[in-house]
Amino acid sequence: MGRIIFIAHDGEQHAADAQPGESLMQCAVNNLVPGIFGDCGGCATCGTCHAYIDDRWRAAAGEVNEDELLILDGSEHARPNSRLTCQVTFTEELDGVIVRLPPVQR
Amino acid sequence: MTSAIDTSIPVDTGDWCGADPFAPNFRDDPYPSLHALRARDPVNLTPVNTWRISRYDDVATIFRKAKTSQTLADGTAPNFDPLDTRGSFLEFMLNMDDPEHQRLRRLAMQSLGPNTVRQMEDEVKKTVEQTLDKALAQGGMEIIQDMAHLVPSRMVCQIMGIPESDRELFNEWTGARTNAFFARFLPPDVQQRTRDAGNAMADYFENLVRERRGNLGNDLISALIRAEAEGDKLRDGELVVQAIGIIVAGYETTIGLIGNGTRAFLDHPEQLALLREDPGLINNAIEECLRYDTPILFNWRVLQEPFEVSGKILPADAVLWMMLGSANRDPARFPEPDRFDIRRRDVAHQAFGGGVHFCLGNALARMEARHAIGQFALRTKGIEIRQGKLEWSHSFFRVMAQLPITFH
Repeated sequence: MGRIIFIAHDGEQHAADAQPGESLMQCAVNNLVPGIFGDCGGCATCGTCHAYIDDRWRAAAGEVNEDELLILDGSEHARPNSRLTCQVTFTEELDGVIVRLPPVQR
Repeated sequence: MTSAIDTSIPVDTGDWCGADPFAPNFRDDPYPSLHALRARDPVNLTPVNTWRISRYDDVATIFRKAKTSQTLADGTAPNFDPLDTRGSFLEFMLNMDDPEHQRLRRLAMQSLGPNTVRQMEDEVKKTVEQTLDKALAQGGMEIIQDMAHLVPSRMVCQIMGIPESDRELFNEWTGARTNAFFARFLPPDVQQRTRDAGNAMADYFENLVRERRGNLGNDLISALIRAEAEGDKLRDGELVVQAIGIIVAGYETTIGLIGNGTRAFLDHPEQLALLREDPGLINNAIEECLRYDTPILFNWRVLQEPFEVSGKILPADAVLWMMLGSANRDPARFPEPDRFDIRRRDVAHQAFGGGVHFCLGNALARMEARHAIGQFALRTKGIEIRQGKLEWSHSFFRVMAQLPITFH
């Protein structure tokens, strides 16, 4: 068990308990965090779970994979620390991770 | 609407429950019968031995959690016409499982992803502006031909590298070809028209691929040819089938979104007024259009192992028809589901399907609809709009052929 801090674009914070092995998207959806949708269910095909991983945890979140790149590349709100949160698995190293949300998902 | 439905009537196996999707008038207003089906038998065994899943939560759960395929365990397609061979969707990425599906999808995404959407946006704006200039000058327009069809067809042809002069060839073909997805259950004349369209489109793309091999461009067909040259082997037939599938998907679904969405606004002038007052509502408005009158009423999955749905255990190889149009009107998910409300707070619909086959053109479709419907609302401000006679197209999807309007 650990914690994820989701911060909406307007600054509103949602802290959620996370289980190792679940994706950040799944944790957000399970905890009704607004602004993370996960329309495709976690296959990196819809791009509705986009978020920014704070620099301190970027390495622990792993590398962006090929499917994420196809969705993020050219996206209006993409930044160097952008991830599709369905592709980031929660581990002990990510305990306390700060995940900031873009202004829009769709 | 649902409260008046008698749910005490026992359901025999193999019953359309008053919602036969192949009935000629089903498209006129499918929603009352879809409400009745959902209330009476939400996991419904049809007379053609398929299961219709009608509740939002069940549809979402299956997309996200069930182990599914697009074909039966023996590799055959449950809904296709066995005689429909040339240009058949059997090898289209939508009908394939991973890893084959993923390989093809990645190739297509290179031409349909966010970069393309951004590159096409000015062209979409210009096309819509020109069509509305003309409409306002002549006092009316044909919503489908002049806008709902024009915008996506022009964009998808550009993306694929189809010359503008050939664009109108596809007007009949794409609509007819949508029937291939469920052709096994359609009348012989529709099956024949569907096969004819498959042959015509295969002829067209075989020629285009041949031509393009010697003259590669910056388009989707060229990208598929290049992938082949780089060792990501696509057989000629496979390449042609991807092209047919993508053009059908790029045309028909977005014609449905822009056409049905515009119609929803015309039927609800108070919502049109709201959008004019606050154009910032456009993104949510497009999601509500997708929910309220979903372009594809149902798609399918095949269970690879038994799965429990609303208390029924469905066996492996069960063919599931995912009733997207019903899920999007489920009162358990959306309060007052039959109300078109562009300010609806939670509008997370199932219109684009889900799971690995989530519509890969969703961002393009949303962008096209945003400009088409958004500009239509703003530029018709202060004008009384009268609707003419609606006609449905030959498409299997929920797509109109005609919706004329006049300005007064």
